[in-house]
Amino acid sequence: MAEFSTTHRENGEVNIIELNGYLDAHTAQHLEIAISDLIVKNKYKVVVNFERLKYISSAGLGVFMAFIETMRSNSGDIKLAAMQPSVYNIFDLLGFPLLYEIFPTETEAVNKFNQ
Amino acid sequence: MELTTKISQPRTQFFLVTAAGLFFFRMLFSADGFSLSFINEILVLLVFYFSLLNLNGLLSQKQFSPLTLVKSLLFLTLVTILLYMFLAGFRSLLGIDELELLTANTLFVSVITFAFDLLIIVILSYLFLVFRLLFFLKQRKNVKTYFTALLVFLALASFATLLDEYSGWDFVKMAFTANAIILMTINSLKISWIAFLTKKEKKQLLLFAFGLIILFGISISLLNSENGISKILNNFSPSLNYFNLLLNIYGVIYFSFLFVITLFHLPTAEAFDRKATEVSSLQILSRLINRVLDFKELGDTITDLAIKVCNADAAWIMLTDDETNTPVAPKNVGFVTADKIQSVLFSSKNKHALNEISFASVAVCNENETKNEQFCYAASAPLKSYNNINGYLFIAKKSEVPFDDEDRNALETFSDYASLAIENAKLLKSSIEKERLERELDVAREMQQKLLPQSIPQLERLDISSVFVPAFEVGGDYYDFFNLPNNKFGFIIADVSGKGISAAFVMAELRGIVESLVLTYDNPKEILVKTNAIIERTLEKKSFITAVFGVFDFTGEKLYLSRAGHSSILLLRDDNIREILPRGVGLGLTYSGKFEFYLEEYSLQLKENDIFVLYTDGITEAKDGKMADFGVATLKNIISASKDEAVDTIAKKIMTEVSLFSQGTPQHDDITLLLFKWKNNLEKQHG
Repeated sequence: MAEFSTTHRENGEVNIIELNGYLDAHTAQHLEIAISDLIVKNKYKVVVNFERLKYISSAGLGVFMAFIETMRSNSGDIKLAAMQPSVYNIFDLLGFPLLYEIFPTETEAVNKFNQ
Repeated sequence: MELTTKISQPRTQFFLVTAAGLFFFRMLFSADGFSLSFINEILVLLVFYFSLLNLNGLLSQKQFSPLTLVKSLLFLTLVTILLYMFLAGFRSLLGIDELELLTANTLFVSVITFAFDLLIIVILSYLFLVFRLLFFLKQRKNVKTYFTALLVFLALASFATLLDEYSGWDFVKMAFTANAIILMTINSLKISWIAFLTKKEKKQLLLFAFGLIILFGISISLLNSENGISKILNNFSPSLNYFNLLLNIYGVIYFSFLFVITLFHLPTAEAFDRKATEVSSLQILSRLINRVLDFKELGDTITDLAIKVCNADAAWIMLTDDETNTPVAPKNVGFVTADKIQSVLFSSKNKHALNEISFASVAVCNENETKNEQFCYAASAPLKSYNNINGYLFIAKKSEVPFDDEDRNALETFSDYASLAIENAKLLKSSIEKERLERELDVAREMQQKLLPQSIPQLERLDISSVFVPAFEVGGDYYDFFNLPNNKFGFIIADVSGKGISAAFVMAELRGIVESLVLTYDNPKEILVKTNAIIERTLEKKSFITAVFGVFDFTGEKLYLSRAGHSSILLLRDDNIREILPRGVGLGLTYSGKFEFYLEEYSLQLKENDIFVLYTDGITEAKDGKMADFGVATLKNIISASKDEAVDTIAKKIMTEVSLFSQGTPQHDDITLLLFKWKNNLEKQHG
């Protein structure tokens, strides 16, 4: 029903995953595979660009929770960027901003890695 | 069974009575003169009729194959001829000359000849019945008239012998006989059961027919010659004698035609056999379509029948959804050989093989394979359903004669049926799976329902209302109330992420944890922090729980709250509605000290008529037809307009609005709604 896709870019050491569409229980697996691929290649610095994400469900949130520890224990991180207000609200309500770094723009997130 | 015996018993009596009557009549009168002869013939006819009825009662209970009928004819004629010979031998043995036998002076001779006559009557009636059965076998059109006409002319010709004997009008007898013989010929052409015999049976039938022609011929010559047998019979009843003769003639005519027709059928017998196997195989398969639950059994049946129908030596199936390409239900073929043949059939030269039936000569026969694995020709047929290819059916043969057009047609028809059967089995499997999941969800829903409070606490200073509407896929919503020591009252509202039975299990775990914690603690933050620590064992990495724990303190008239990532708490005080959103992250988001660090302890001095509304996202994320959310704003509006209403009324209003909003779209998540209305201590105020 809901369409979802991801695209992958690299900016130096930082891997950028762009989300597009609806991230829910049915499409979450898609994102899981995308992130697992990075782990296999030992790439632990990830910025997720939410600019074109329209909706996220609890299953979608779970994907980030599943991988954050792995990234951080390998001196990397998952940084979130460019969320629509409706999507940010969901993260905010759950307390994600207290545990994850969320940036207004992708560039800011990438820069944070490069500091 | 009972009915037939009841009916046949009086018939047997009739037969015996008429036979006895005939015997005494013959003892008393010597059947001279037309009228006495006529009475004799009538009595014989009656005995014959009752014999016919009795035997018909016996025969009609069974189903006979044409070959058994022919065999019984063979047996009957043989017995009759032996009987004739026995009587001739018996006569010469006793030294009774013909004349004595005819006049039957002694009682002994009378009894013997009568017994012989009676036996002939029974045999003739049996013979006649078998002829009748053979005639009506597999007849499609109504041919009853033909047989009845034959019967009438047989009877007329037989009775005309009396006229012949007493008035010399032999032309009457001749005319009837001619008619009877013409009808015999016509009827003999109406054989329609030969085609249904297998080749082997046809060969047998040729042999039997030949034997019968000879036996009937011998019988006729015995009856026509001037020997004692024909004289005895003629003396007993000229009509019966003639009827006997005619029946034997019928036998010769019938089996002569049968012989010729069978001979003509012989070359096509093999093709007919093939069609017959094809039809019966398809029948077996179509019966299987509606029964099979076991996929292996279905595969076995398909390959078994494919070998039969397509004249092949080996058969197997490959399913497309199986990536290993392992042959399913292979018959007479090993995995390695099957794989080789598959690669030949699906080689790049043979691109159409994927979509239609394809034949190929496979070189496997030239290779150094073990003898029983050598195949010269193979074919594949796609198993299609709704333009999807579910798999392929393969056949292979060892013979150096390639598959012909017939085999191709058979494979085509058969693979169509087989794909239907496979599709059906798949659908059945998925519907069973679906049913199992539905039952599982039923269990989860029941579990959830039982874990929720069965009644709402009735408190003096706090009006409480709650609504819970489970979604079809259980959502894992949870709420509960706790009477705490020191004049305090606690509540929790929580939402487990995920759905179905796993969410229901987490919810059950959560309930257990909270129930035991409230025995020791009454601080919302402390309870949530401890819950987070304990739930770590149960909760999956990607799962979390949002929750609000609250405690009403009746003494201090205060509300203490902690929020772990849950939706806001709405407070309507006087005319103002506001969202209370203390800081805090969801349970399971982190198990480090951060959880405790960020969890805010919120408290609020209560005022008369304060209304608190707590909810899960099933309400705010309820969708309308355009996929828009119900939202917090709408919820706030409803509540602010209900300042003076009772909590139950407000709850009802909210639910009505939610269901109006989401009309036509399925409820995708559980809905939980908790309402509290605070009342100040009146005594304290007045006092």
